[in-house]
Amino acid sequence: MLKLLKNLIKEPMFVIGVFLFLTTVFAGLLGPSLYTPQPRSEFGYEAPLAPRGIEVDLSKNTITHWVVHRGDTLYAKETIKKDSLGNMLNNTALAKYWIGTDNLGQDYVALLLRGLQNSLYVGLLAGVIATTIGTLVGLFAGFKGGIIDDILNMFTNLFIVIPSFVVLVLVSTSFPQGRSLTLIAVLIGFTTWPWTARSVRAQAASLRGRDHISLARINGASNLQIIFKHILPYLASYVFMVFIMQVASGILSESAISMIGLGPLGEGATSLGVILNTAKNQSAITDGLWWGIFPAAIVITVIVFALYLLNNSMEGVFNPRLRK
Amino acid sequence: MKFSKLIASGIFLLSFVFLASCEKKEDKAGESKAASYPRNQTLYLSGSQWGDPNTFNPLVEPWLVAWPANDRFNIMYEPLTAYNSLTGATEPVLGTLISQDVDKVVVDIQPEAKWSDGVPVTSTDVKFIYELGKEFPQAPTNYVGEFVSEIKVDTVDGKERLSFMVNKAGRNNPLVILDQLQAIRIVPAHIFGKYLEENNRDFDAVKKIKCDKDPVVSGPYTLVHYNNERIVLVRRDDYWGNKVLHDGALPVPKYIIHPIYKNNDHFAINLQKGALDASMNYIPRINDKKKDGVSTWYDSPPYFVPGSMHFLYLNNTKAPLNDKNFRRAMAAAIDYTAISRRALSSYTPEMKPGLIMSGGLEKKYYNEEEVNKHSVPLGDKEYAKKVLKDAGYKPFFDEKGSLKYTLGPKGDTLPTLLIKSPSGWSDWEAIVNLVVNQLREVGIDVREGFVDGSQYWPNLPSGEFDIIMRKPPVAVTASLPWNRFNATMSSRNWRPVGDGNSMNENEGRYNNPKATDYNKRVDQLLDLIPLIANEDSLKAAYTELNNIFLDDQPVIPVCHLPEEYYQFSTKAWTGWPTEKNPFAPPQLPWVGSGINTLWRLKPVE
Repeated sequence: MLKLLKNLIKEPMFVIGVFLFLTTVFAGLLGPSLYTPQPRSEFGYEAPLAPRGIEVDLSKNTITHWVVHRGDTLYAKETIKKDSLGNMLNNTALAKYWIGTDNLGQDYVALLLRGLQNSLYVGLLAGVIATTIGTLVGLFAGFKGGIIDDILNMFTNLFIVIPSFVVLVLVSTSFPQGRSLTLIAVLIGFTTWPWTARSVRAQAASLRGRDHISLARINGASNLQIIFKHILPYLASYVFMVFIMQVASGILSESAISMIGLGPLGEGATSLGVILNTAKNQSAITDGLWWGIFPAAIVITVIVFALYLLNNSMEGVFNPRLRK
Repeated sequence: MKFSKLIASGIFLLSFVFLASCEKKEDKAGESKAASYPRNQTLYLSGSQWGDPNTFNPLVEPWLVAWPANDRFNIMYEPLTAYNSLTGATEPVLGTLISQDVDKVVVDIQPEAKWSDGVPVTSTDVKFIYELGKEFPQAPTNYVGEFVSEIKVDTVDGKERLSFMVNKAGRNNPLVILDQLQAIRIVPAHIFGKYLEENNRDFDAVKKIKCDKDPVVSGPYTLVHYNNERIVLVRRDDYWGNKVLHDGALPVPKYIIHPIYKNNDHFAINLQKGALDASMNYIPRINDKKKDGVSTWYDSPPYFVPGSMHFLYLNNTKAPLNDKNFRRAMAAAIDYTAISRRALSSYTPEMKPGLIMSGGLEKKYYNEEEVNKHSVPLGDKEYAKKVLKDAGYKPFFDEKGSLKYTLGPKGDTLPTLLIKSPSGWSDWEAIVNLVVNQLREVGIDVREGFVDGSQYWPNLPSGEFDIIMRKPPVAVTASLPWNRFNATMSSRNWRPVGDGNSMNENEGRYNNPKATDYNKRVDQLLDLIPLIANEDSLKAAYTELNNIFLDDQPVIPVCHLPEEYYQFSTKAWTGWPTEKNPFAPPQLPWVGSGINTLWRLKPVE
């Protein structure tokens, strides 16, 4: 085990993948509680606001920034002489929209952090569900063989033939009210397991005839004991890699159905896909409001890319045939 | 085996040939059409046809009929008169309004008016469509009988004079008869009468006729071609109205094309490119598109002329919404400026309370002093909190300041009220998001309830909602603001909440006639106003009704938007009506007296 880990750490792809993934996980987990969102911009005419921090104009010795006057709710863009900055800080707070605001004047950084958290939650939950179902079905089918294999296989193939995205869309539309993040995750989990089942089945079937399995059987081990004690450990690394891919596809699926407006609804149900959907509905693409689209798209790309890197590098280490 | 293979490949080959031949035909047709629509003779208008055009039969239910045979468009089938939403005048089309009083509305038919097959337009045509509902209850004009008891025909100075007699036993409402002069388009009786005879007077069989080949129309344009991407109209150079209504001039564009877009973004893109000349849909941040030649009525906010109100309809039968103090607190807590600026790109003027607009044609009925006396201050959170406190509501907030729950006057926890709105309607979604935040701040427990359209529409008439976003189907017509009061307060057809109990006005079930606190003055005034001719009495009646509205706040107006957005591009055509050149109302040149724009446009060479 330790040796495997050492081998993994030698892989630069793995290190980069872990680094990126952990960064996003930390940002998602801790970000929303650590980062205080900038107050809503009251600059209605200009919402959505382009990203701005403090603009310093050295030639005029001025600083332009967003000001929040304490006590009342006036926010304004103010240009002041640099030397009076100290005075001003005493009665105002600076509002810095690092990635701008959405059409309702909400700080995009806060939205992205919250969305990241929710997308990770959906991805992980969907991944756990899909991997669990897929692995169990695959193990039983592969180990038992015969009629059980046939039935489970038929079932799996049935699910593969039905396009999962269409099922996802249809089921989502039938829950118009109360589509929570958990519901979306469960839906994704229940529609994406078949490929896992198939590949696990193939692996389990190849183990079925091995000597140690026959020995266990002679010793009177039950089917369940054999499956969980003698087959699953052999496949653990494989199942783990499958799990990573399921998480990635869960995040992508969530973004996709949210993007077409069938994502989670309700309070705090912002996900990266929902951010993209809102931006799209508000004509961000046509009007060239890039900060509505790109940050969320980049965050999705980074997570999924990190997960793919992890998966690829692990395969290189775990699979004896690919081992260098 | 061999044989079946042969058949299979044969079928494959055949289908290929078939597909290829289809493709070719389609291409040819498309090509020749495209070539024959020169840009400087073709006007591109859009926003009224979203799905595939199926039928152009004006006797079919309006929502199934393709543009421009549906709704109120008067470029193919014309109404008797057109309402000018700018001046309030009723302008002549097939007829001229002679007089109106509490007994009858009198209209003369233009003696020169002719159908495109040369047959004159007569009282027979008018009576045909108005009285269709008598024989066929499923006719689109079946509601007319409630308002018009009889159409009397006389001949005066060689003109046919029609008297639409007010149905005193029915709705007794001459205002709506006036609206109908514009809303009902006259169809050729000699054509549709023939269709009915051919089909043994089976109305449903007649509805199956598509009327898409050389339709007999009276208007300045007629249908020439359509597919799933566009509908093409061509100018009728022998249109009777050119001489009578437009001093012999022809409408300038030879063709009018309605491209069918599937997505809101296409409108903005094509307007900016100059591929679309005008549209009537919501486009955010219109001001940013000025540099690309896209203009609106006003150059500065609100850019459009307000004509309709959008509301939060409240379920007046459900606690705590049945408490008028609670409703008044809601009206006070909402920040209308934020809604205008953030959700609607500043397309609405400063919000004034009540159901009468403080500008435009309704201004004469607006009594500022009385409004201020009866209304809650708008956008005043402290006032809202005070009203709630005085009425016994106790909100509880967590340490971050977000609302946990609210106790009612009896100490019970209030339910979370959902604001229903169709998901995907981005402007309404933004409004609801803002309202939820603002109301929760003062302690009113509401949440977004975005639902599929299939859930939204049926729940509206049956009253199955807590709060619902609603724009009543109130057109800018002669009967404003009466029809707005009617849509929000009338309990003439009051029915309890529930499936199968439809109400098509006052869906929030305000003022139950069977309740002990029934205010019969509301319905009295609603019945009375259409019969008042004296402007001073009218203003007094409107003020009284508006005061009741402000006191009771049965619904909450959230914004004043244009009845129809009107944005145009000056890249291919100039001479559009604007604030500075108001020769026609701010409408696309296809409805009401907005159609006059067609005679004034100039192509950019």
